[in-house]
Amino acid sequence: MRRIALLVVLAVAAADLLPLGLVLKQAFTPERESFAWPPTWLPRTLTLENVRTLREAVEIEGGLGLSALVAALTVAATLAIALPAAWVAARRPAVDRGLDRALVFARLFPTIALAIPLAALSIRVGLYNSPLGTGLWLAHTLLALPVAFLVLRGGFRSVPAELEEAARLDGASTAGAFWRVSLPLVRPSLAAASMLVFLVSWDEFGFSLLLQVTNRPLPPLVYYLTAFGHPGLASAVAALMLVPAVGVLLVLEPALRAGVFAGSGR
Amino acid sequence: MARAEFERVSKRFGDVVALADFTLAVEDGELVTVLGPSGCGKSTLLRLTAGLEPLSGGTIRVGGRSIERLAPHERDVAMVFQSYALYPHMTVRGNIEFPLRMRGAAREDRRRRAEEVAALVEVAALLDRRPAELSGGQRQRVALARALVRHPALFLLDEPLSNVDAPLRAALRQHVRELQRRLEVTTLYVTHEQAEAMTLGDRMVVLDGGRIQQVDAPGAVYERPANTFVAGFVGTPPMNLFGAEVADGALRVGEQRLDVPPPVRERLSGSRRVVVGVRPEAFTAAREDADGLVARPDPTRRELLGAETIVCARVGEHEVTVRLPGSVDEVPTRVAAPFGALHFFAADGGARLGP
Repeated sequence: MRRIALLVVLAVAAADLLPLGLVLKQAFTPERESFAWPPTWLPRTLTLENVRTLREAVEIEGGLGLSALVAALTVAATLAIALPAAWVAARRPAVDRGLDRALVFARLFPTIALAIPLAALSIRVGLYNSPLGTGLWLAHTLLALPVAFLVLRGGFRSVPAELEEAARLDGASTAGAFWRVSLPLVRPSLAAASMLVFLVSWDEFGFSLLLQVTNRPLPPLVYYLTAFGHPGLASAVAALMLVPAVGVLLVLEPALRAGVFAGSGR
Repeated sequence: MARAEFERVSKRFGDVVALADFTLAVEDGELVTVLGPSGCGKSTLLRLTAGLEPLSGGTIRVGGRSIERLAPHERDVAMVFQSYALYPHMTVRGNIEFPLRMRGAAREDRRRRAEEVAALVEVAALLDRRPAELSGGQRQRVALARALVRHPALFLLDEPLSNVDAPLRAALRQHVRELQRRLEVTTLYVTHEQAEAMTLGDRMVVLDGGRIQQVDAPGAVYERPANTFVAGFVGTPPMNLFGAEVADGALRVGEQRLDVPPPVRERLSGSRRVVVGVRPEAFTAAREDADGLVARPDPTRRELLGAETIVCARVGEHEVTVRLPGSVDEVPTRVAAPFGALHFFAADGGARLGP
């Protein structure tokens, strides 16, 4: 039984890590080698050539900056909306039912079906191809809201309503009870939601492709570089995209593990 | 410290009446316990008073001031929750200081008062711990300290001991009583444990179905229950209740015919059928020619509890519980309760007949 479990774990890990390994290999080997036949599993020569080309010819800083800005703004905007919404939903079943239904409905549409009308709309209101990605972060916020809402609602549900009631009796206003008692207690959920929302925006392709044309965030850049026959460059961008994703995970992981609920009650 | 007055306070949730016409005055420094089964409206009463739910009708005054429209923090009312509701992310000190911080007390003042009240409830050594590191009894004390630190005009306790182990409960009960006496704080204490309600309360309120059944000193509630609900609810084992007929100045219970003495006769006049109540402890072993209500114990149904013995007995077709002092090895064939120990209630509605 244990041996079978181990095999399954190894198979899943291999399926996950093999493409990742190939991406890393292609990122740091000359492009010629990417096209070599028969393909090589391990790099023969290691080089920073792709990285250099990215900086000189592709001006990667623009795309990196745009992706980071859009992701950061998406996290901020999403949490600003989802936090109060999730809190109210966790406390009031009637509100919860309405929000739940609206979110499920919104999730029924495939991204691409939304992206085209949204692109048309953003052209009309002048947010299309915005240098600061304004249209894109609004779109990403819409995309990420349900995720953040569900995670945070779960967090608030696990905070007993009595804690807020106690705070209100102790002299806090409703908002004060939220800030001083509930918010510190949903820190793990807040960390999880931030991480997921960041990744939603950072990895998002459809809107990024259709709402931005010349000011390109990273995911469409990977696509263009691949399409124009530069797998080495594309892989280098993909490798670059891994860095903040892993970073976010490492920074937020301790908060995710912290057990802050113990001891409030009996 | 203040007098608290409830005037026709009521609460409805849709069609459900949780509390109806609750009228009560709690004197300055008095401890009133509210006893009732679950769902009787006792927790609702506290939540209305604390401002966690709006009233459907009526007025609550604390120290002469109507508070029912005020926000919870404007009411000068403190509450200890059944679950304690300690803030898990704060230390014991942080928990106790929280109400003072919310009221803008200076840092030094907060420290001093928190330490004072912590000493009072004997948690001074635990100030830097977090709630998760405390035992149930310690959490309970911290919850008390947090509620008392700001000297509320009215102190509410919602079954504060129900989550504490039984051996600790008696000690904490005494502690709560002493604390309340020392601080002379007007207190409303809700519980479903009659031992708690009886031993703690200066007076007790018995609540059922959202309505007050009786308000009186615990002894008086036991001695003169206002109706069949209170009679059956207060006392362990509960009072025996059964129907009887009144005819020609006599009470007929099964085969027995008891002469009703003149003062009692007046109370029962106009009733053909009554409910008779008799406490299990009112019975004593009796000779063949004994007066009063006679019951015949079933020797096979006996519970030896050491200090007392519970015996099942029959009065006519009714089964009654009899409580005899000590360990009774040989169950008497007859037990009897004197006529003066009988309680009478209206067959219709169950209200007490007479004083």
